[in-house]
Amino acid sequence: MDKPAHRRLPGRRRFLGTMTGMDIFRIPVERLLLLIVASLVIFAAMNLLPGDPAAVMLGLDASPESLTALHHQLGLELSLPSRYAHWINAFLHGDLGRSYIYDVPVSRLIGERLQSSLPLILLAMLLSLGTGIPLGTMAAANRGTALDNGLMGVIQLFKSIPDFWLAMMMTFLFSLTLHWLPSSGFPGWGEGIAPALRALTLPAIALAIPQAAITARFMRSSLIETLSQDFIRTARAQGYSRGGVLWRIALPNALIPVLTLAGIQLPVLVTGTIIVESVFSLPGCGKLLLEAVNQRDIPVVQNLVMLIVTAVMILNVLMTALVRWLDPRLGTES
Amino acid sequence: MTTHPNRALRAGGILLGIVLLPATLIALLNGDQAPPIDVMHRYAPVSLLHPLGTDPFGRDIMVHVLTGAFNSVTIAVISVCLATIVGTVLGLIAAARPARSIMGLADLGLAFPPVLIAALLVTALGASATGEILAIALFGLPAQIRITRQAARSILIQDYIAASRLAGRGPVYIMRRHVLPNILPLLTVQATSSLALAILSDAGLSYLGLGAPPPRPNLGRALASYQIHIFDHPLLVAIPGLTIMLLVLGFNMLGDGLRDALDAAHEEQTP
Amino acid sequence: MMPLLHVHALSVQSLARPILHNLSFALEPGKILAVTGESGSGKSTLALSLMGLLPPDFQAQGSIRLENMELSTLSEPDWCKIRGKRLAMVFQEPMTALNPTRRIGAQIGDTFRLHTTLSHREIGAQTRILLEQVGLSKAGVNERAYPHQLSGGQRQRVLLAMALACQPALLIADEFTTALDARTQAAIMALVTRRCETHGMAVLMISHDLGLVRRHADHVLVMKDGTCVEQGPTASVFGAPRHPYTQALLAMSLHGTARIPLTPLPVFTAPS
Repeated sequence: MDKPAHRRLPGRRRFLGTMTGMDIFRIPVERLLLLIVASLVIFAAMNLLPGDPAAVMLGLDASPESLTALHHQLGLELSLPSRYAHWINAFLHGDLGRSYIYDVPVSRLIGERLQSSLPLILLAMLLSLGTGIPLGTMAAANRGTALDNGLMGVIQLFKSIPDFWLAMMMTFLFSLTLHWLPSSGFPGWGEGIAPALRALTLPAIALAIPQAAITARFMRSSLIETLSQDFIRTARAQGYSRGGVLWRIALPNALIPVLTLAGIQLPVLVTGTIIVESVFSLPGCGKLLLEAVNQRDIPVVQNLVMLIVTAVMILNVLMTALVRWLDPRLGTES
Repeated sequence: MTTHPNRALRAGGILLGIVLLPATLIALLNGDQAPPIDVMHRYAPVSLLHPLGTDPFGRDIMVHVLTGAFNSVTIAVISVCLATIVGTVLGLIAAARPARSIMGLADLGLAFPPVLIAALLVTALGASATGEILAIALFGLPAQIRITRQAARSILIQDYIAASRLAGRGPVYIMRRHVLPNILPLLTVQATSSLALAILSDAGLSYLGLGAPPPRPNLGRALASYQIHIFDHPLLVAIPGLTIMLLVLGFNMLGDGLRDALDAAHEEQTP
Repeated sequence: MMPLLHVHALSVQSLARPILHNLSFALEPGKILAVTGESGSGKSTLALSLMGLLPPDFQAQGSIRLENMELSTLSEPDWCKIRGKRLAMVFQEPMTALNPTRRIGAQIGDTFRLHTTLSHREIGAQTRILLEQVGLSKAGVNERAYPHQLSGGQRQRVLLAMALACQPALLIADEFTTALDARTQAAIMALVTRRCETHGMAVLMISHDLGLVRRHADHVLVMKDGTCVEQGPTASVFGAPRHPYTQALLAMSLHGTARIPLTPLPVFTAPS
């Protein structure tokens, strides 16, 4: 703020930024730093407990021998920094520790659970973008009409529905009353694709509806904003029809911030997945996390949370890179 | 934006009033604890004594759900207040100086949904209302920092701020005297919208058992305990869910209405 | 000579408020007509009504004839066929008038794609010729550049290339060079006037810069509150203004009072 004026010409800085491509490196480096901070937070929460983590895990009536054994298994006799170093080193080598409750490697547990969690979250994301973007476009193209108002009303309503409650009500309607789709459980992919997809349909829809509402609303305002830009008038003067300008010029530009939003909404989707898995008794990562929390299975909690945070960060970097590739100005907006 | 900028405001107020007025009344009369279990009167039908009937434990559903709503809104309000105060201070600092570290920490929220924070806290310390409030507030913090910073910067580039600086005013004075009053309306709008998100977060966390523990009832836990009765008594599940929806819808519409009113006021100032 | 553009009794209202009132004028091929007047006199509305791009809550009456075609009754699809082809428009805002996410070559090529059946390769070749003609090639700008990589003057040249692509009979320039410095302004005006001489293109130039008008325009139309207060050959309007408003405008521009930039000097720097 105290720098002289000539150092701060915004256009020039942006221009140089584009040319040197510094941002392409800056964002992942910043995210990497964040990831280190996140790992410290997770480690601190799990290891700076008041009292002995092993005692917490085993409960009050644990024998001294089992305590010592667990101490050794968790590496508790080491100092905090070396425990942290051990953990990160193992994590980076794909060793996520051993579940205390199941007595199997955490990586195997997570691998099994990803079979339903990953398709579910992908399906939900596709559904929410696949319905939210067209609906938002429709509302913006018919701005101010009854259609727009009606759509916005429905969107406002769906934005306010808790996804897990929606999941319960949909189970009641589609599974328990109409018997169209299974209400809970997951047969796995071994039985073929159809039963697995059927089991994931209701959870994915329940997850996607509030997200689709948020996407549609954002898409609408983004498109309306884009349509008010000067370059839309330039394109019209060039001979683009009203529809042509909407589809060929405005829509691609309006989609860029929507992709950014999808990146930001990712953690929300993760939360939703954990809750919805619980509603549908899906054997996914969310269920695993909750079981681990309830059983105080510290290795599972610590590594699973770290893994989710890492995955979200990586996806976030990829999304940012995609947006930056689509928008050559490199994030000059807002 | 609309012809009636205050229509959303009024609708939001009415929706919130429908839930919050009776909820507050019941909390004042009955306290914030669950109504007593009465095994003699399980699944009582709708009556004058029990306007929505009783649940599998013989508790009055209306009282249970409204008390739950009161407790949920309390948690949400405290979390949002916390996030607003801390977020505003950090946002103002980030606006005043190039503070990479603050914005970096704000980005941390991008990867830490409240359910993960709550999972860590519950594993470490056990379920508690404090932990839940912390989890919701931490999740709301990044947006709060970002918005405050952006709004404060738009004020800081005004000429009168430059004049004030030239007059020898320090940054704290300028923030308190010029920036804060100007961004307060925006912060109010943001807090209202955050309440909607906080209610949703509270419901989700409580449903999973990561929220505030019993005995105080709340909406998420009510849903969790009624879920197994969905086939025989779907209303048991419908009522707490609808209550959450009314609250979230109410805060969302209130926020939108306030935003429209704020925009309208802005347009009047600068024709 | 047969007029290229003939506007007769053009009036425009917005929500019962008159914006333009009973405007009539004609423009011959190869000539430059300058429309001038203070802000809010309806100059830009005139430009938009000639392009058929008035906002939906505006209504226009009167006749606009271009090359013996009546434009006021044209259907929207027919408008799209002639916009960019027979009449083109360039705008003032050099920062925002170009699509930030597309390469300038693609944006210039759009004019060809919309109005011709040229192949992809031919469009590329034509685009490069245009970039050469507007003087961008020699500044080292090729069709793969993005708008944010260009200076204000270069962007205006891109806009000009987009407008000139299909060799329009009429170019409407709304305060086109206002945001540019004097040297760039002169260079771009030279491009436009050369095009008038070589292709017989007519220009309707909207500007409040009387110096620019005096240098380049053949005819002047002075507007005030949506009506034409005076029009005629540049020399006679500037030499012997009849209307008191024109006299006042000229006096102001001569004393230079209207040309002092009112933007304050940066005391406090804005965060980007």
